Amino acid sequence: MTATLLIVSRELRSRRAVFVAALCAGLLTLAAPLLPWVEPGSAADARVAMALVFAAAFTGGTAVAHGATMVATDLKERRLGYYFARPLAGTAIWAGKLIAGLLLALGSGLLALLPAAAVARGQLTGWFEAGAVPFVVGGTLLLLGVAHLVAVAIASRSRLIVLDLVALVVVCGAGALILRRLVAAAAFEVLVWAVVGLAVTALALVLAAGWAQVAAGRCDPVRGHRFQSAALWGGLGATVLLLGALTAFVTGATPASLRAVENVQAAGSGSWVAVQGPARWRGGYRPSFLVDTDSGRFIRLATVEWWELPVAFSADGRVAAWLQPVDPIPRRFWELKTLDLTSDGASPGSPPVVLRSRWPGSPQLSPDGRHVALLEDRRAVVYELPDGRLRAASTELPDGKTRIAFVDDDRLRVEVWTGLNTGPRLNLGELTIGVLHLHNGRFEVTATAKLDLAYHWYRVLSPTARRMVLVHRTDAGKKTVIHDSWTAEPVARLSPAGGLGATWFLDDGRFAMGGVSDGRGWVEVFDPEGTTLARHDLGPARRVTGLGEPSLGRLLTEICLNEPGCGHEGDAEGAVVDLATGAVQHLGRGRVPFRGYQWVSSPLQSAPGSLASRLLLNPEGGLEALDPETGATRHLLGPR
Amino acid sequence: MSVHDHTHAADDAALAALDRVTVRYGSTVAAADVTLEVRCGQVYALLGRNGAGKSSLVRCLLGQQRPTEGRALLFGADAWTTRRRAMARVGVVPEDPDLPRNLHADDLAAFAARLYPRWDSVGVAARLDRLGVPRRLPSGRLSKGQRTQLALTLALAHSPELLILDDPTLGLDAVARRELWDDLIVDLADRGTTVLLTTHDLAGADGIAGRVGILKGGRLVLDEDLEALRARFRRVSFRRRPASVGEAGSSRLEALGALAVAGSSLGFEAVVSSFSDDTFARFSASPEVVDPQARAMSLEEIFVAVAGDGPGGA
Repeated sequence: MTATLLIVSRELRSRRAVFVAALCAGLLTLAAPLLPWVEPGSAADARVAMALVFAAAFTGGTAVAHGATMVATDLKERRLGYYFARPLAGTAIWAGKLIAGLLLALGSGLLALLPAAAVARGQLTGWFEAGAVPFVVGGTLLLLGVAHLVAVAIASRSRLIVLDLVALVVVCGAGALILRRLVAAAAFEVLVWAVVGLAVTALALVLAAGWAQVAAGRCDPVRGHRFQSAALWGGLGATVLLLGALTAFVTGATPASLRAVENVQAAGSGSWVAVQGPARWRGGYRPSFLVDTDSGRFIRLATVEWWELPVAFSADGRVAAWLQPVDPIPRRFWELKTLDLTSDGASPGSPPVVLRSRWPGSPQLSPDGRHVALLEDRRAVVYELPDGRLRAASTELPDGKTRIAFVDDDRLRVEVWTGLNTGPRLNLGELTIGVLHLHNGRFEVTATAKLDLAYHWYRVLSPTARRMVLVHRTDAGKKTVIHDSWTAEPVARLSPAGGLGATWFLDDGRFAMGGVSDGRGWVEVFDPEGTTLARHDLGPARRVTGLGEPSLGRLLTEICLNEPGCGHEGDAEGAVVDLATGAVQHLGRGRVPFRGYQWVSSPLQSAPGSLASRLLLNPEGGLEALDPETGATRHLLGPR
Repeated sequence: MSVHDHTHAADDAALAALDRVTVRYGSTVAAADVTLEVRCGQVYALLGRNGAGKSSLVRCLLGQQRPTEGRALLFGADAWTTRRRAMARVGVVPEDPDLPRNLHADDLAAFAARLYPRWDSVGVAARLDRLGVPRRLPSGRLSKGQRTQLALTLALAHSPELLILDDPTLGLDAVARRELWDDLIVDLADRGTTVLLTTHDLAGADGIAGRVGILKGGRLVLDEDLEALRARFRRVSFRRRPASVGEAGSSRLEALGALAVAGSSLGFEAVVSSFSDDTFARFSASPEVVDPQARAMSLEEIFVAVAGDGPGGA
């Protein structure tokens, strides 16, 4: 330690001129307000800005200059023997020179800031955060270390420098490919850790390579170069290999790796689902899959967002379609992929449809699976499958939030919500509804309505797209109104006794609404005109949500007993309510209907009896299917 | 008379040794299979022409460079692995004084003083003042001679058991060279320090060395006490009797162990490497030899004969 400090002190003494220069530069910043282009009112800012520029220049410049000369110059001029001819360990020589370089770089930067800081009195401190200190120190050490390695490689005049360049290209290329793969998989948490790990490892290896050069190479520049290259590239190569293996493990997740299911889209019929959730041992990575729950066969999907599963199924459950980024960085182009779900060995097809968009939204499939609709350049566009030929396109749509859905094999319903941005009434806007006919390619607007909604994003269509539920905001509070989905005319107003709840379209044209009043949950049934037909008590509850009609006349609900804390991990349970008798079948604590974000991908409510209307999450987060007749459940995916 | 003669009797311990050391730089062989020992109390002069491998061997001994083959030993232990400990007992003056150029003598002395327990600060100041080396001038601004004297002062200040001088007079003028050798002779006479030196200043080494090693093409072709070397090397000359026939004189010289023979119509001159009075008496008695003379040789003459372009060897 004494030897290290001695060398630090010797190095500081021999290069102390940099401190003087930094202080002089710092004093110069006091004259910044005199510069002709500085306005009188911004003198302090000018001083601070100039001081920061000087500080960065001194820190970076000193780190590079010291790093490049602290050993390489002595080696080249055969002066390193001065240290090695004394009872000094190579480690002490390296550590002493490195620490001195760090102190010189950071000290000169601080001295350049000092005069401005003294004058600004606290204004400068706003530029700094304690969290930045490790980055500044790490960055300075990295500059020192890299400058040292480069200078030694040049000073050695060894042919090893060619190998260095090759290794640099190989390691950087391999590293970039690995990181790109993590980006492509949207494993962003793993990516952040990988980048941080790589940066820290690279810094450690740069410093270790410098140490190896000094301690093992001593006064022999070629030997030193050999050791530094071996340490650096050997270490970085091993790190990249390790990262590659980790990435292969992370991105190799299968549906069986899912720790929980967080998002699901289910086909209208059949056994295929699209799922997304965190994978076990993979640091927050949320892969997406298209899975046949019967056979276990699966296709990996590009994960887009944790809340979005951009997969569309045809109503007959025969075709699935999704969008996949052509290049992971940047995600500007998307290609359409399809899969024939009826064929056991089919691999994804690629119709020649490529969109340019940051995120084009979910595709929509016609019920027969022969057409796919996409939003492209503010138009709804329909292509034929599987050849990708353009079938029809709408006129340019208003600039707003657009959703599309096939009503039948010939008609694509289009709706655009245009917010009017009127101060606090953020949900005041205009809803434009239109239809694109496939047989003649005509697009017509069927309605335009100005609405003041409580939640503009919650616009659910009945399974046949005849009706639409909106929650209006009035001076008296919220009210749930059923609208004609083509004309936007109100057709029924649901006024349950004791507040509002979530609304569900029943197969026979009635509506069900779940809610809570006075600490008790209820389900109320309305006729198509909004008249209450029945009200069933569900017992103590804090929130009730209707989430599916698993079989005709039964409503699958989630009953929250405490808030916050709903969901499968919390204090909630699923229940099947017989809407005719009011009989309630409880599914058990923690076993709840899947409460996802289906309306993001498709505005259509799931069809009665479909798999989507029967999906449950078990207490462990696994996915199950409910048999509404018996109340039994069947495990599909994830934890049991 | 060498300094070696003034030191206490040498014991058998080798303070520095090279054991079959080979040093290669790529395909270039700087030193090949060199074995030598520097014993306690000895002043060993390792001589050789430029590029003979002297500095490479010195760096190996200092633990600054690893031999390609063989071992360099300091105080009986591997110089590479025990360098740090060994350097506490060694003083070094490198070929080109490697002192940091922006530090002055006092700074350098203060730095070194913290590293050696037996540092003689007073002695350092006194010696520098005596030699007229400015103590407050950056070493980069000192003359070559002053830098060397400063390096020697720093090397001696901790009373090293072994002093390694790598061509300390390189680049010095004749006066500076003489002063350096004189100082060294006085210092070493006082201390009895073991010395390994390499030099091209053979006249200087002649007055200080007790044992000599000569490198030729990276190989150690001679390793012997200087007195013995002087005893067996002679420059022999004679005139040829006019009636003598052919190369008879030359062949008689070869019988004396001549390394290099130069002949003319008048006579011959040769360097003899295994001279003895008896052999020379028999040689002188031969009828072809007229006016035979045997002259003692200086170290420089011996070096030229051994390390020169001739057949060499001893």
